[in-house]
Amino acid sequence: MDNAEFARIAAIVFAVSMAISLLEMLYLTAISRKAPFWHTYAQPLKNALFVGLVGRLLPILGTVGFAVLGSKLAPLSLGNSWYVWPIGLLIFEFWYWVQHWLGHKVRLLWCIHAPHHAPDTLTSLIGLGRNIIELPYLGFFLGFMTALMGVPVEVIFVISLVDGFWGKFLHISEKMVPWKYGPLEYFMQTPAYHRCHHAKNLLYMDTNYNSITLFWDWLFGTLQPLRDAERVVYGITREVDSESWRDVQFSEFGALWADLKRAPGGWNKLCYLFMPPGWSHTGDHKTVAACRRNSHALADPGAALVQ
Amino acid sequence: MLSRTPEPHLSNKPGEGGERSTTDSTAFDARLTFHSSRLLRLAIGLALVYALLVFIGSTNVPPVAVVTTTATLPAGIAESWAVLTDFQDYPEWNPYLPDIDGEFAVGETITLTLVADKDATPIRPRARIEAISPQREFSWQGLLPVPGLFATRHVFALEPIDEGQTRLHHYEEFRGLAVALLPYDREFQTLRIARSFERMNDALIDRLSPRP
Repeated sequence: MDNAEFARIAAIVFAVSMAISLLEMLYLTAISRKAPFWHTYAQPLKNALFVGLVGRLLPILGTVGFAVLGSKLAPLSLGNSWYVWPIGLLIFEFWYWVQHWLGHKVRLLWCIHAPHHAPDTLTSLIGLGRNIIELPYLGFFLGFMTALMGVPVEVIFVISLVDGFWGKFLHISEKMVPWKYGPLEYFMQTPAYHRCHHAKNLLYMDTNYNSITLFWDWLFGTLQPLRDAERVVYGITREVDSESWRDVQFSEFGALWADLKRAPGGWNKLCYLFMPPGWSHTGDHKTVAACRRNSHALADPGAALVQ
Repeated sequence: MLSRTPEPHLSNKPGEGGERSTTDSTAFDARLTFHSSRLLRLAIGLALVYALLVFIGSTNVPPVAVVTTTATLPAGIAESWAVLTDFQDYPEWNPYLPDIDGEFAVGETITLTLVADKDATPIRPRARIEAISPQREFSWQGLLPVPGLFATRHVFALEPIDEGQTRLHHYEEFRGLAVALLPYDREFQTLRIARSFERMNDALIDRLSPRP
């Protein structure tokens, strides 16, 4: 396959997924009137002016571009047998898990990833709200690193198309598709899992990083199925004005800058950049792990469950 | 630092084990919990790494390096095949593999006595005979305790030229992480290994040459 063919197939898949998103928009805002148009779609629309509509297409093409580079530098090739498809998927998903985990656990990278999490509603168009710096970041891990491990470019292209399409579907509004997906829930990431990922509930935060299968989340202990008793609350833990492009895209950078200015000494400043969000030089950490520890300590045996 | 402070009204469910839930947990949720056994996950992870190494060392992947030699043998294909596959006779003529201990049959484990360079100390690697196509080709794969690091496949392929001459393709494929990643002078090593193959090829030509 040459580059023109890659682009053509990617454009078709992109067009189909956009059509689904537009149907969702029509249903939510005009037919069922379950979501106010501007509040739900302010971010994708405003950010689309900045990133351009290609912001959704670029990650796939960017991934292939990075993959071509990686395959030139790869010390070995995994060949062309059929095995390379499941192995390629496993390796692709491994790097997906790694980049996504880093995006949540390294404060500087969280600033880049947070715009995707900040809005308090979830629709399949939320991908358009991604920070533009995230596009080459994704391409590096999903394309370059996967190809460097010997996965052929064609395999990466097809998997990233599936990932792009399925990843978009993972964000579909629960007001449109509220149900779970039966047997799929045993091995695939489904919208039910991904709703947990976008939640700010302590139980759900920093879980379900993958976008196609459950494997690496299960292996690394970050898998969290949706519980009917724990209603998902979307967003991040600071107050966000979901309609403000500036707030969604840049306030995490602002908060980081404020912490950096306040932190005494170079070491503390470095820690603010690279430790998980919520790390504090005072020792009063508000990271997800620390908050979970605290709430477990409160709920010792015999004590009432923290509600 | 506000960024990740959980809001106080948001609940947290502690202690998966001690928690009694009545309203949530469909059958599915209860079976696939957040805290699958660490030991199980570690075992599956290690098994996966092992499987990946086996794959990287297998012929499903193209070789990282190949050392190829060819020679024209002064005998017909039947005679060339007979001498080449008679391991018992190797001590009599073969300077590169002065001994092979084991049976010439597919799947058999053989122990090679291998003299890498002229006058070098022999090493005794083990290998498994991978395939035999009578009067055409046979190959063995090196056996090492850890797969996928340094995997070798040694091949002898014969091709008839005419009744009194046969072409020998004598080559070895190298696969594995060590071959791909360790720093070494690939050109120098390729030449060195090719020279030792040629020592054997030349001796085979001598062996097959009509005696005065």
